[in-house]
Amino acid sequence: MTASPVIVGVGAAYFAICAAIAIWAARRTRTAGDFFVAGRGIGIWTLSIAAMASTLSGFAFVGGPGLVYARGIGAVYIVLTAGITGSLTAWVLAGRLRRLAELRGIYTVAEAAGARYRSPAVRRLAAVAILVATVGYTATNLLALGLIVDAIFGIGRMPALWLGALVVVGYSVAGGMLAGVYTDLFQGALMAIASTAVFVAVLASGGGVAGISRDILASDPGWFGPWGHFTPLAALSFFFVFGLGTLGQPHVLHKFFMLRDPRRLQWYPLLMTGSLVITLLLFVGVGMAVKARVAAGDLAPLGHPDEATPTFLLRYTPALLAGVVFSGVAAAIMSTVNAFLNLAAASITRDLRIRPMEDARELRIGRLATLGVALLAVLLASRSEALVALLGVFGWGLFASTLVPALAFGLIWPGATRAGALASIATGLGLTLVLESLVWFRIASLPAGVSAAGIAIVASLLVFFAVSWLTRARAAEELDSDVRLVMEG
Amino acid sequence: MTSGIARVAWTGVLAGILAQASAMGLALAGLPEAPLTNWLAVGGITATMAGVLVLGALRHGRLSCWGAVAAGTVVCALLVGFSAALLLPPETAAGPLWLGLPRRAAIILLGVGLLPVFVLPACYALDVRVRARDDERP
Repeated sequence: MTASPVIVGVGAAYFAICAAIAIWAARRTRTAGDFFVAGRGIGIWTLSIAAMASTLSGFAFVGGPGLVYARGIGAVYIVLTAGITGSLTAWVLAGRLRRLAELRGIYTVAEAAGARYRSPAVRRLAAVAILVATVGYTATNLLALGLIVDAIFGIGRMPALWLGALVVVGYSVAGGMLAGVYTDLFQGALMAIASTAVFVAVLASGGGVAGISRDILASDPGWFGPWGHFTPLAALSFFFVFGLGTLGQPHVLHKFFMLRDPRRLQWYPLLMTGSLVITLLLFVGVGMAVKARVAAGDLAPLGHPDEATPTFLLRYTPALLAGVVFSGVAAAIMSTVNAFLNLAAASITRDLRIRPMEDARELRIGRLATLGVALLAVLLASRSEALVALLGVFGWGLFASTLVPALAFGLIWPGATRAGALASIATGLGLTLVLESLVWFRIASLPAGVSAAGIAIVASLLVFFAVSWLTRARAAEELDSDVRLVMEG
Repeated sequence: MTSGIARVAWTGVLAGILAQASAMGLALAGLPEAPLTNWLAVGGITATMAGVLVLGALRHGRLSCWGAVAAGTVVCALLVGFSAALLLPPETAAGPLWLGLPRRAAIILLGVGLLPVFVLPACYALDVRVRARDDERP
């Protein structure tokens, strides 16, 4: 692929800014607290934009618009919950996690789960679930980063994978979460700007929303039905899994530990939801616009749905904007990778360790763990695309089915017990791994509308409630008085 | 001690999860597109999401008016939006557009997707303000 000089220039500028932020942050990372929770010194704007940037991976810019192009409005259900989830997370978890972190000096999501039930076993099992999901998710995102870096610089997929990984791993190891949140802030702003500009181009390409609608309705009215080309249950299942599952995404929840002033959480839903919705304009808009252009005969049908975004950018936007969007895609992937690397390193260093260690040693081990997990993910990504694709499908469902019951419901229900939490995490972990593998290897298939993640979430919730109820006599003794106060809101 | 509101919210959450499980069960039993399957999913999603929101917003067993407005918005947006999508007839190419979109797509994208964006964050900000004021009272 021959790269455009403008796109190469914008891409080079993007990577240079990331590197500069990393150098700045690395000089300020002196303690384990700086490395894992950015010294608990970030403001609400940084928290909200960084949470938005970590939430969205490259899927929001490439896979998502492709799915909208191919399957219609039903694909939008994956992001349709965006208007609710920021506020829901704030009400259920933000304040409680931030206060718990302050009281107990907590750095990790698994640590919070352990504190809730006064249980090292809950903490360790939650850390194992997070570690399994993050390694797979990181490898998948690094593979996607290789594709995007190759699209920008045209240097071949393997060198591109290593170049992209070198930059993101470099700043993750050197500056930890301090580098992570400030690159996230830059990357999130870039994603929002790029998405807004592309949406303007979307409207211009099809004569406004009405023009786009008319073109699509004339050729494929089912696309514009309320479920698109999915069944109603399939679209609704997206809404359930991605709506409720948001409460168990550790790369977002982890950021609440970093906030300097908890009173500022008042503005989190407004900033997070606003920036998320703006950034998702590209997800919805590009899929619609390409479908309309194909329907009107301006474009040939795409060979693969994932070509929707590159095709639209190269055909309907100036090279400068295309360069910004390609960098925005890289930004979305890198912000997610950085968050996962830090989560995995924190799980190894703090949650799975045998005994406590002094601060300087913890910082050193944290950096080594980040490097180790990153190397494992890069090796996976460069050796076996099939294995990486399988690991990638575990991510969201594994987080949701293991953490939503034990952590989110655990923090709003004093009746939850240690046994309930352990049983639900084990159920979520086991069911997600087994069901996703059976479906992946085509040993079993699920009907339209039923996903492995959906089954795992529902099953782990039911197990959580049932086991907690059966062991309810122990609930009060497993809840420390300070944690009870935190839970009262 | 569990307040009346908490009891209603927990009932909603449990009923919602069971409804979702039933919808999946019907789909696994070979009825993925039966009307009952779809209505169970709609009811399950609405009850679970609104119930969790209420439980998160409760403080000492009480729900502020802003928490109630937010929960009401979630119930209305999801129940009305998804019900309309299930009940209204399909559009034709020459049919009227709502804000540039076919009617049912507009209800889903603007009603379910966009309406909560304008209500929920404001409710949360006002709820936090009310809590802070309560904390300052002697």
